Amino acid sequence: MKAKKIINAQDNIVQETISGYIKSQKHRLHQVPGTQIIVRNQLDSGKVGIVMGYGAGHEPDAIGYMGSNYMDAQAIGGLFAAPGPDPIYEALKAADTGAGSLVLISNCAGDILNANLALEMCEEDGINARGILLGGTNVADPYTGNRKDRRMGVALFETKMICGYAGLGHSIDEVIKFGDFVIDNVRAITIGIRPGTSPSTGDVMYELPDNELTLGAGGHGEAGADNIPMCTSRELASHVLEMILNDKPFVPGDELSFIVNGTGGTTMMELLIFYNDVWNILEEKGYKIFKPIVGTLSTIQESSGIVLDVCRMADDEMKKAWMLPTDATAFPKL
Amino acid sequence: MVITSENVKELLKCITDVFEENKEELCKYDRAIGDGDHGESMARGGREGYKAVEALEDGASVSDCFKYYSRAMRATIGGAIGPIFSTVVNEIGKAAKESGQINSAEYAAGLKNAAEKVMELGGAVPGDKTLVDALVPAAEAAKEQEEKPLEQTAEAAFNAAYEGVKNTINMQAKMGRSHFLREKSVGHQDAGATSLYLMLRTFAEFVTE
Repeated sequence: MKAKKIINAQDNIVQETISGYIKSQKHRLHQVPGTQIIVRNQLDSGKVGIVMGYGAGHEPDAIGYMGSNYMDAQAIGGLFAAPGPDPIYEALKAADTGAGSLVLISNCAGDILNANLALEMCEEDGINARGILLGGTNVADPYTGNRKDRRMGVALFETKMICGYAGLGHSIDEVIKFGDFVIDNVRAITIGIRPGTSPSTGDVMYELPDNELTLGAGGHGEAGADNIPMCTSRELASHVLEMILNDKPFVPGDELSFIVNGTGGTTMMELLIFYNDVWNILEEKGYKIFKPIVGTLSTIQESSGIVLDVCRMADDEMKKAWMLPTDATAFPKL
Repeated sequence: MVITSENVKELLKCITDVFEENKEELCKYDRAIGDGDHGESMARGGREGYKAVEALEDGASVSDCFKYYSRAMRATIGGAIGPIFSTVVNEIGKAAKESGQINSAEYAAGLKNAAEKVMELGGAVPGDKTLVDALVPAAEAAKEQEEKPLEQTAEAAFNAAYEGVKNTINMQAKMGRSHFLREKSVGHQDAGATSLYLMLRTFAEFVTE
């Protein structure tokens, strides 16, 4: 299967993706001329500025998470490739309205490396900027206790609540502490069903037999470490929830929320069937359910796959941060 | 032949071409255990790097040509490989700063500094199945041959890099995206190490011509 995509020149893919989105949202977002940096038109003075640097190709993630009580500035790199340190540094500067700025760092070698270089530049220039590493939640990767050794799921519990907590007026230290607490309450699994095609090479991103699913699929079209036979939605939900609950023994009676994300080619029909199964199984196990969401929230091109994140809503602060309204277009209405 | 401001642009053109010529092969290695676009990234980075060098005036120094090539690469490629590969390029050029040329001593020093910088920057060590597995042996081989004419130093470096690339096949990845594949990452050669080998081979061929 070769790629069949409606694009123009290869080299313009990211730039034109940004242009399209910014045109649709120009009442609230703008692009810094000559860069791939985007910033909210109206920043909230005195709020910790939230920044993300990331590779494109996951739309609506993360461009659709720019907005009130969500992200304030972003530096967008290439397709599935982190931006260099300079644009992240510029975004951190742009987002700072006096309370400092915080970069959310995906657990990928490139994102970490470039964000750390950007933070060093900020330190040299006396800019109050910090970073928080998202990761450590994907139960497909062995647990070592080190956040760096495990990837993340869709990470929307982390980003929504960290940004929401900043929106509630907390200081940068408090936001980081809260972020660490949220991450500790999240577990996730990435499931690959059918690979997508790369816009850069035109080729299928990994190989997977038709009668198998891969667990621990990567966020940029990488194969997972373990394959399982194709199965029903209920069997799949039961299998991956077992992995999650074995890793993080939430206690029956806990209030759990969850996210069922489709990676681009999974139909809403499938996502809803899977969502229904996850809900039922968690209820059968005695958990209370708190405002779970479903949708195509973060993609890997047209790949079929599901990312399931489960989060224990451990206190009212988490619920408040999760429920805080935002005008970001990609986040579902709760 | 020694690299001077007279021929440095031509050398960088050859390096740019080798990424373009091998991009499909590099993507193939990356597809097995990564996301499959490494060759495209290197070709694009090289193209932008060479554009930056072409814009420099005639007679621009060896270190400046390498510096601007590496900066454009870093800005274009992004990801982890962008800063890492551009560091290698920049360090090789930096070694020419004092003498204005790359002869055996400068080449050996540049590769040694590059290996140290890259390990510090990305945290990889030999055996992790990364570019370091080609770079460290190349730097060591160049050091051993640094008294010899540049042709021999460069040949020793690229032969060692080639061995290093072949050794990555049997390694299980411990850094980068491929390490999440655990044992499935065994049996495939590392794409980043291959790109480094291609650059060192091109350098050796260029100075031998």
